[in-house]
Amino acid sequence: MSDDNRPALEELGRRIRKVGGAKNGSELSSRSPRGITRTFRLTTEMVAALGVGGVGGWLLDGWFGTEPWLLLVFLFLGAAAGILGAYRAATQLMKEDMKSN
Amino acid sequence: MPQMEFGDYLPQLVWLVITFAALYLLMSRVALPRIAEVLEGRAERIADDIERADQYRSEAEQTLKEYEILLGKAREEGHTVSVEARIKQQEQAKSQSEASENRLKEKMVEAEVRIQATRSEAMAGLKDIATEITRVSVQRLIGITPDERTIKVAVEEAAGKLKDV
Amino acid sequence: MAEKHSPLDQFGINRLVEMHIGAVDVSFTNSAAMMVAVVVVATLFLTISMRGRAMVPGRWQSMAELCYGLVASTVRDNVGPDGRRYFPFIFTLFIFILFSNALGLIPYSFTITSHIIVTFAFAAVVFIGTTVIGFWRHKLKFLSLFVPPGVPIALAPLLVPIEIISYLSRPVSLSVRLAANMMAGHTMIKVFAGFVVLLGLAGVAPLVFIVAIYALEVIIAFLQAYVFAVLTCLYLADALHLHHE
Repeated sequence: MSDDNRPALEELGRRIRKVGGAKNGSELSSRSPRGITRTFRLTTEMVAALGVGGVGGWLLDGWFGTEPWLLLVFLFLGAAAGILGAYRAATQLMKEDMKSN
Repeated sequence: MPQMEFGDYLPQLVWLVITFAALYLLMSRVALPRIAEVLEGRAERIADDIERADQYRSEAEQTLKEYEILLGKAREEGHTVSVEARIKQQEQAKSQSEASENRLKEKMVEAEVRIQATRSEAMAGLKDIATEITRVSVQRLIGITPDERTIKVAVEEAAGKLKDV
Repeated sequence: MAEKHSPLDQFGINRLVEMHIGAVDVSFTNSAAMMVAVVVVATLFLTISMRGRAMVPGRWQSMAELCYGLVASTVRDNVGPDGRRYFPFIFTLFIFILFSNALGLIPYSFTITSHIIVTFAFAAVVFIGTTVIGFWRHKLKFLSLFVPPGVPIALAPLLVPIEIISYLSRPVSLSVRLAANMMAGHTMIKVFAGFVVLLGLAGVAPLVFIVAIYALEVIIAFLQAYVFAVLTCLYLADALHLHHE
């Protein structure tokens, strides 16, 4: 009879420890739709950076009377900012991939 | 494109500020505290339950340990009892057989005594008969009735001789 | 006006009650009516569902708790413990956008968040708010956000403008993403609805397509609200902790 009870009790102890430990970790965060948010971010952020660069350059051109040079420079900088953002998102994604594996 | 009607911007912004502020107040003052209260209550309850379960588990473990100790003790005791019982039984059997042996011996002695008694009785009877036979046969043979004492002595003598044989 | 039948008509602002305070137009529009509806529905959902305060939640209470847990874990994971004080604001933002997107999917209703001015207002508040928090907390050290760590000083004249542009493009991408997503989905549904009428019996094909888009739109309505909340958290984290990757 005691031979049946001993392993059952140990199993209970394991389960209690498991349940007790789970409440400290964040189960929700691992399930949140993070990957999808990344893909949404990339395209818009590149276009937005390009747009902000273009508009900024155009405004500065208006102030300094340097049409169209600052517009061209800032379009280039905007594109660079967009690509840099994409590059950062990609490295971040890879880092998280490595961490999860 | 209606999104580019700049004249519509202001009324939208005004009402956005009003409604957003209202929602912020409702959320931070009413809805969020209530949800937080429920979630915290549940987390507390779960932690409590887990703690209690762990306590019950250790209690059960303790009980099991005690039970095992008791069981071991009982087993030992049982062993002792059975050994004692066997010894007692053996002793009893021994004393019983001794008693019956004694009784048998007694009976044997008794029987011997009885046999002896019967034998001496029979012997006495035999002497009487022998005396009688001697008397009658002497009388018939020689026509003289012998003296009772003489006969007896003679028989006694013969019997003594017989006994020696 | 109603006879134009453009797929963009659904985004039109109609003044239900004309109101002016001085020269300021504060008319109660269909957009304002939906905003009020959003506040009412969201508040009812988040309070009535929790009325029972049940230990074991029912379906509605689970949904309310899920919203709370999602935003709470987003703030916790992206901002950290000092993001707690901003949680009510981020939660309100998430709920407002979520319910604006979701209620806009009801036929004949209006999608507040399909208007760039509304989404830009949200984005501007987040942008200005995080910038103020950053300067308030780190003073001028906040400007180091524009100088990426571990970069040679010679590249700074090139990289600093790039960082500034990407910082300034945050509210633009934030607002354009939300408004464009809401507008595109709704316009597509309207366009295909027009096809259904035009094609008669053969209109079953676009009808099936509409159902598929509609299902997708429901998911997008949620995801866009979530993306907005996540990005707000990331910008807030930048303002609170500068570079800490």
